[in-house]
Amino acid sequence: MRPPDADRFADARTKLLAHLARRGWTPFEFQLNAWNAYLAGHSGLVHAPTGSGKTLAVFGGPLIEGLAHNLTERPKPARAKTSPFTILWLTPLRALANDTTHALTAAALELGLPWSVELRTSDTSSSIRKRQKERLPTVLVTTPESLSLQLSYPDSLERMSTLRCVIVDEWHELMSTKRGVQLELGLSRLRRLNPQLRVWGLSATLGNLQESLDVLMGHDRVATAGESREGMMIHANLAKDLHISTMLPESAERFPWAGHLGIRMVDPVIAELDKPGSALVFCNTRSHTEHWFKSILSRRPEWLGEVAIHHGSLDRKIRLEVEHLLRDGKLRAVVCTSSLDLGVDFSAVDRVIQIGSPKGVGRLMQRAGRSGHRPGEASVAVCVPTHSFELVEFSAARHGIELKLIESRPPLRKPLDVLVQHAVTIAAGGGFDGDALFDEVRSTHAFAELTREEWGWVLDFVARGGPTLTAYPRFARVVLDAASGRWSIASAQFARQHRLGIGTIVSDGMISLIQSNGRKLGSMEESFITRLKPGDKFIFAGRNLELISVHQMTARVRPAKTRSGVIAQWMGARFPMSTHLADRVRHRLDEARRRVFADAEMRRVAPLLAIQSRWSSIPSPDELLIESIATHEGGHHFLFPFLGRLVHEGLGAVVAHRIHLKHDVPVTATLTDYGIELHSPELITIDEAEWRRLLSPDELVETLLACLNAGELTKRQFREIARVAGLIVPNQPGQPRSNRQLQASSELFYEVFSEFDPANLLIEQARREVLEQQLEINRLKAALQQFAGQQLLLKSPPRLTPMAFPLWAQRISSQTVRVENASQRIERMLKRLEAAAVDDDDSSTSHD
Amino acid sequence: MIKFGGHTLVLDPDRAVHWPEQRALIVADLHFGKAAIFRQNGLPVPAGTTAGDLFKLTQLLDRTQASRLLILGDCFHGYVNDPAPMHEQLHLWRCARPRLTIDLILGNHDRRANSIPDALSITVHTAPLDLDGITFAHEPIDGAARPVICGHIHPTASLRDFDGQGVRVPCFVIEQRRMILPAFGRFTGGCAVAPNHERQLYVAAQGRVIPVPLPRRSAAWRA
Repeated sequence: MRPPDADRFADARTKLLAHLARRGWTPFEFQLNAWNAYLAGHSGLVHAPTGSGKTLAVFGGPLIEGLAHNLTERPKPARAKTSPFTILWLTPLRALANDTTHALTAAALELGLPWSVELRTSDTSSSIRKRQKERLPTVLVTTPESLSLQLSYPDSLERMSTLRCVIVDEWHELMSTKRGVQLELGLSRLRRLNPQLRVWGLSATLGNLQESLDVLMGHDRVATAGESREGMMIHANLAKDLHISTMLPESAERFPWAGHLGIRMVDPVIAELDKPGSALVFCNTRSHTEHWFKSILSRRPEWLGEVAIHHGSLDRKIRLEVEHLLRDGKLRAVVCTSSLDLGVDFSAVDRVIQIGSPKGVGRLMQRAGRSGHRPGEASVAVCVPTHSFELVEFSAARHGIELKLIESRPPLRKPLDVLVQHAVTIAAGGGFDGDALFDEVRSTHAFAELTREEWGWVLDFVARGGPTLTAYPRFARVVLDAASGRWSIASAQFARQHRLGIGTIVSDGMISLIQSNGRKLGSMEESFITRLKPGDKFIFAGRNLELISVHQMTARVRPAKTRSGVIAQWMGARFPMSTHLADRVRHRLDEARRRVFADAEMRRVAPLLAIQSRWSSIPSPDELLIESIATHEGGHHFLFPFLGRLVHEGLGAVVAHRIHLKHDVPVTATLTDYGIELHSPELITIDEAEWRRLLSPDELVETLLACLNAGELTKRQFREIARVAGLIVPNQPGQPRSNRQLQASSELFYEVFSEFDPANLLIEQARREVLEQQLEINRLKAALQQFAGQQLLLKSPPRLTPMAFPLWAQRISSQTVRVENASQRIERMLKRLEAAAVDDDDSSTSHD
Repeated sequence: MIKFGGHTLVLDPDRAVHWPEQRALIVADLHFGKAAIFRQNGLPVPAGTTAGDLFKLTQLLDRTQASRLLILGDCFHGYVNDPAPMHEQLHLWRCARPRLTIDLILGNHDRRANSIPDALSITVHTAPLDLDGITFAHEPIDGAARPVICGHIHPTASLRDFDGQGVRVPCFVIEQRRMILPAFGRFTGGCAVAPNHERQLYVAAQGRVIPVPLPRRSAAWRA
């Protein structure tokens, strides 16, 4: 005889299936598999493209459980409370959180479950926050930062004690970031609360899915002596038709060779938007969305209200409005950034327009997947080049999708800045026992290898500034209670201050933008606003604005009467191109070298590649092309290894350092995904034998250490670490004046630490991050060894070639590496000033 | 060495001005106690910045043989909960040079700081100080009767390199009737100032002081 429990679950399942059947849905096999795994007590990862019903896959299990639970209980009076806190849904994006909350609320309501579903993000109103402080809803939808914030309140664990299930949406977006590590730490805390906790992740396709599952599961050191928890991998295996095409410019030679706006293509884009249905227009940066929005509306003013703009710096009300209109199918198009990149289920979207390179095979595939959500529909993406070479990238990305060459995202290891933040968070949230938290932290993938010494340093750092001998006088953020052995926050004021800084996303000081009628428009970086004077005009959120005043992190603006104005700019980092895509680009170029043009994109770009061949060469896979040329700006060597920007960073540093050492000239390396530009004041002649030495894998370790000791790379890396570890007090709109005297830049911290506390592990972490992310020795060695087997193709083209031009033109906006240390650099510049001063004296004497 | 307000002044690379005629050393914006204030507010800053600044001051006094120290404001960063260790440190330093005269023209930060112990024998001026035709102040004064020497701004010059990138270096700002000193304190930030026809900048770094030429029409490195 079946136990009554099983009957209840069977009944609940029948009820859910009947409910779905009434709506004409039959669950897919992977959804049923996910339900079963969940109900059997497993954790795991559902791998499914967006729009394939992954929400139902992970939410079905909890729904059945809820229904079964509900069946046993006697009917409650009408005003009964909703079920206690049971499910935590974590999502990386606030836009996604809104959508998810709606979907989950509807599901619970239709099934008659007494569940409350609520949202909690930094946008949540204070009245809801207050209510949630009293009692958490049955299902809480929130972000990793908000989870950490919850954990920083003393009674957090108590309030969360009924939690049974955590769902992590878009785990692939979080995994290889510090936000992901923050989430791992949060999960380790929740698992201690309930060892039976089930954790389910949702992920798009990644090159390292199994690893991403392991990271999410963590290690249970206490129960199973370091064994990885078993997690179930559930694949959707649904093939969705993708149609990816490119808008071809009339002529690749006369189309810009570099640049990043592509506004020339605005007319064909408008023609595309003129078709019935609605579109998402993806741009790579916030400024580009402003540019494109403005260009589209200036051509089609009658589309005002039908075309909207959406990016992360707009006020939440504006964003929500746009999301609602899009969901209801009332918009022709939304010009957006990655703010609409993730799983928002907009079934109204008929096609996606990608402006500029998608930078990765996986990203293009996911963006295309934002369209055609209705069953049986294909996803449609139209790519729009902003310069000619992107034709090759689009062709290469599509080829990558065909070959299923999807990128991996490596998980991070031991970022101590995140651990410092977590330790203070837990100290504020009721305190901790040092050994217990050590075990807990080590149950995460990121800190599985954390040593006792490192943990001891973290505790010392938050408690005393450092180990006893170098302790900072009268500093105590966290204190140890000798009697109870518990660490807790030193004061309520520190707890408040810490909560303001929770999170790992580093941005420049943000200024809120408010219209004179009090309407909030969004936020701008301080560095942009400070370049404007009152009365200056600029464009933000697609509006023409005039700056009235800036006061205490708030800028007052009013609509400008004239239409001219600078377009708002943000410093945000650009995505580097993935090595997979760079590899495919190289493959396409090699075909072109052999006069094989695989598709329309490659045929269109062929004449430009012919110019490249004529002036220089197109390298084959066993050739490394180096172009040397002098311009009025000095000497330039362009190397084209096609290994992606991350590898080029390290290579650029190594080669620049070696040239600097040999020739005693300053060298700046500029990197793109195709190549490296080495720029110096004069052209240095380098023959093949010397290039071989510059590119040799010999004495690589020494070179790397020298690059590292120059300090510039480390100092830059330290910026993020200083912020995450809570050294920088975040700017808050309308902050009290007293906080101003606590402002110091990360450079100042770096210098003071380097001079007065060189053993500080955060400095060490900056060095380690440089070594792992930019100067990773194995990757560099492999690259240099690859060069050893290649022919060097040394060319001195008459002018900048089609391949070199983007490197030269884009260096203002792209990453550069300098190999001198600060004092060497200043010394050289002082010498220059001295020479100029002598010249001045000479000329003034001659006048006399 | 420059002429200012009819006197000969020496700009020192350690971010100070020496006035040989008056045997005076002039500094601005020391911000003592800043690290301590950071620490008491839960921000970890290692000790040593105050000692480093005092050591540099000692070297300057020895080198210039000055008998008078003129501090143009913001000697102290703000209110320190427990000022005893800092005051003790300053007192020890003070005892080693009893014959030195110290004048402090109060700055905006000093006004919020702990009261200064008498034992430090610092003459405090709540208003600008006139000395032989020059006005010494904390904040720049517009339209003053006499030439002004002041601090407060923490000026830095942004030097452009051949690759178009800038490096910021502390500098003196010298105008027809006004001179602004760079911040002396080790743990202080800076504010970028641009030179023009009425405003000459002198960067102070690596043991020397060098004038910054005005940007020319062509910004090319070799120009």
